[in-house]
Amino acid sequence: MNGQMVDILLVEDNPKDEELTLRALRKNNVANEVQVARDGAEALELLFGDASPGGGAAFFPKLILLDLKLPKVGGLEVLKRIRGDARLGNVPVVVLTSSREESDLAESYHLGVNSYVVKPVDFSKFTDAVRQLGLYWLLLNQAPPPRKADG
Amino acid sequence: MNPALDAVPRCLGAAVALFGAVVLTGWAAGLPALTRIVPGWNAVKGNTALCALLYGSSLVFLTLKRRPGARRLAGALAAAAFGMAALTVLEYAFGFEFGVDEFLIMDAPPPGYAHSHGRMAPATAGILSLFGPAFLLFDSKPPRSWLSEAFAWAGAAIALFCVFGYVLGSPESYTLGGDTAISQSTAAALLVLGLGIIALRTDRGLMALAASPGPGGRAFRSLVPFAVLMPLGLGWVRLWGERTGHFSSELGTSVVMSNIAFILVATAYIKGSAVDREDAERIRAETRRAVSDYNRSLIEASLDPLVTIGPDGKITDVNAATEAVTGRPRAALVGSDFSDYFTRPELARAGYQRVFEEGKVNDYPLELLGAGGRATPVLYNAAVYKGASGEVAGVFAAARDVTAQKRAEAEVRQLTAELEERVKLRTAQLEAANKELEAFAYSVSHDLRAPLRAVDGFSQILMEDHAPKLDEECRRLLGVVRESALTMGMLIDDLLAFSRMSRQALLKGRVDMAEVVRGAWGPLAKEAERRHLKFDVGPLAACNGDSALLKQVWTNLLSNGLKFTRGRAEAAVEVGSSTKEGETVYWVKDNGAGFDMRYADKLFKVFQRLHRSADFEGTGIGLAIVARIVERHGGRVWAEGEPGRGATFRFTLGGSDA
Repeated sequence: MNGQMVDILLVEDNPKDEELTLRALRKNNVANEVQVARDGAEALELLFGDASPGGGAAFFPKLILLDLKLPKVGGLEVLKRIRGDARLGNVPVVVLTSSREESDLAESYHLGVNSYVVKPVDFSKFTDAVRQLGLYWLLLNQAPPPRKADG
Repeated sequence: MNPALDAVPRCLGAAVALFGAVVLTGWAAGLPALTRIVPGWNAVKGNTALCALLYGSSLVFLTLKRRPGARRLAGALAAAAFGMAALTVLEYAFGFEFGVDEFLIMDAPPPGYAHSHGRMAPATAGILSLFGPAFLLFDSKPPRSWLSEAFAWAGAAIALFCVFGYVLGSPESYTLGGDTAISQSTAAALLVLGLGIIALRTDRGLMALAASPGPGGRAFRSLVPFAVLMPLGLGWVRLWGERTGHFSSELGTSVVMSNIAFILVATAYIKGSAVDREDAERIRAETRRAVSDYNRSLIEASLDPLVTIGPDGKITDVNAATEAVTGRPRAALVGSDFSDYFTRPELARAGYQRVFEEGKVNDYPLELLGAGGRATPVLYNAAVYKGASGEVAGVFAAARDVTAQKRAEAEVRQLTAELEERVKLRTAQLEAANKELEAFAYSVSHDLRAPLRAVDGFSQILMEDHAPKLDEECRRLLGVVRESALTMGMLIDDLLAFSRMSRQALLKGRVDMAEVVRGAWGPLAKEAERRHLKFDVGPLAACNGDSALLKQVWTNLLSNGLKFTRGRAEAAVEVGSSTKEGETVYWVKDNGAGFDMRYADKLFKVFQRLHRSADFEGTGIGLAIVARIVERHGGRVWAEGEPGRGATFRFTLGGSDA
């Protein structure tokens, strides 16, 4: 099973930021299917599947918008797991965070992030940033082909 | 006083007494040979012999100082002899006949004698009379003590005169004071007696000098026989020459005189130079001793233990400091093995070996073992020393007590360790504080902005989605909410930038300031051009610093200049640097709004502003960042200004510029 195809997996623990992000995406008509994970653990469950019986199927998103400061499992850890995975390794990941810290930037790029965007406080600018990201990664950019995983 | 000196008068006295006894025996036994002593000489009168026996015995008794009766007996004997001699003198002087002359011995009278022929010769009587006071006054206390000696000298002089008379064949000498001659043997015996009396006084006068070990005594002993024999010899030569007809009387006199003069001068010369030689030698010896004493006193005065060690490893000499540090007396140290006095004898022996191999050692560390096992840390300096012929005679070693030094070193070590411990602790605290600050900054950058974004975002959603329901006032109020959120976002961004600036490591290097200023001006140039602002760059000295941070300084100062000249018809900003006394000052000058110098101290503080936001936008972080960067370079920043007349900002970069 290759998992359910979605446009975007949004990993965001702050419900207000989640709402603002989803509104920006909707307003600009860039994404149809958006799945939200509210902490790192949930994101990993969605991506790699739940081992427990009756667990949901694993997702295969076209784009992952990843916050760094997350409960349970941090964003950097999530990124590391994605890049270390045979099936999901090539999925574009964009860090969308409030942090401007140099260490976060350095570590994210070191782990192979595709893009690093600081969330502007100004909602107009924030909306614009989300619009551009959606346009670029979902429409303009050619997504990598899914890797042959389960054989 | 040397008691052996008493032996001289005792022997002389005994000889004289024996002489008297022999003669008396001769008379009593009718053996004329014994009365003459030497065949062919005149016989000695009985009284003379008796007096000789008495005086000689008296002399012997006087030398027996420890026998209590001896002195009194000596006095009695001398008094008896003196009485007899004095009576005889009176007989000669006044023509009396006391009948003392043949008191013991009847002599056959030779023809033509005017008096009893047993009477002693007048010279004999005179000499014997002089010896009387010499004996009797012997115990006189000063100032008359010289009298006894003077009488003895007088008697001895007459006796010598008579002896010379015989030797030279001059009858006038030995028949002195009458027609009877003193016997040859009497003259000799009385001379001996006189010398005996003189020799009796050993504590001063002639005998003291004769016995003296000094140069005076030596000179006296060497000259006396000469002084007696030289005139005798010359006199004899003269008489022999005259009698055999070789000399006339005048020639004889001149032979004697010239010879005396010559011999005395020669003697004075020989003896004088000998005395000088002796004195020079004495002075040399004294100097040597003084130098030696001085050297020794220096060695003893040394506070460092000094020791000399022979090639066999035995101590040959030590000083007082060595005795003190080892707690053993010199006598115990000298001759013992030197390595016994160290806590580690094998190390001491190794050092000693090295001295022989290399000629010396410097600051060789050892521990001296003192009394009661007390160890003294020392540094040894030692070298071989050589004997008179250049062979290695041993090792001279000096120890320096370094107890105080060691203690100080230990204290320094302990203090250093404590200090390091404290530094470690402080560093750890500082690192913890830094971590905390970083965590705080992280939290601020992340968590504080999210709510602000929500405030702004939802305000805008409200405006967009519910616009028809909102009146003008509602929209204005929502605008204020949004603007405040944005302002706070900016403040947070600035605060984080400032915090980063403080924590970021300095990457120092050579910095071309003109280049940095050009780089900082670049983004501002467009606005400046639009406003026809006059930008003037003077010479800028290169410096040592972090070029990225310095670019931030210039950017902040230049944008300040641009901002506060807004509204000037002829705005101008100029930069430059000047170096005075090795310190370079960089400056940015504008003709903008300026400021009131009363608030100059607030300029460089975080979020402190001297202008209203309505007039000039900004959070008040720019100059605080400038100040922080300049301070981190070790420099300082200051400003001058006047409201409406512009402002000048100056900064230095500490000692590392130029």
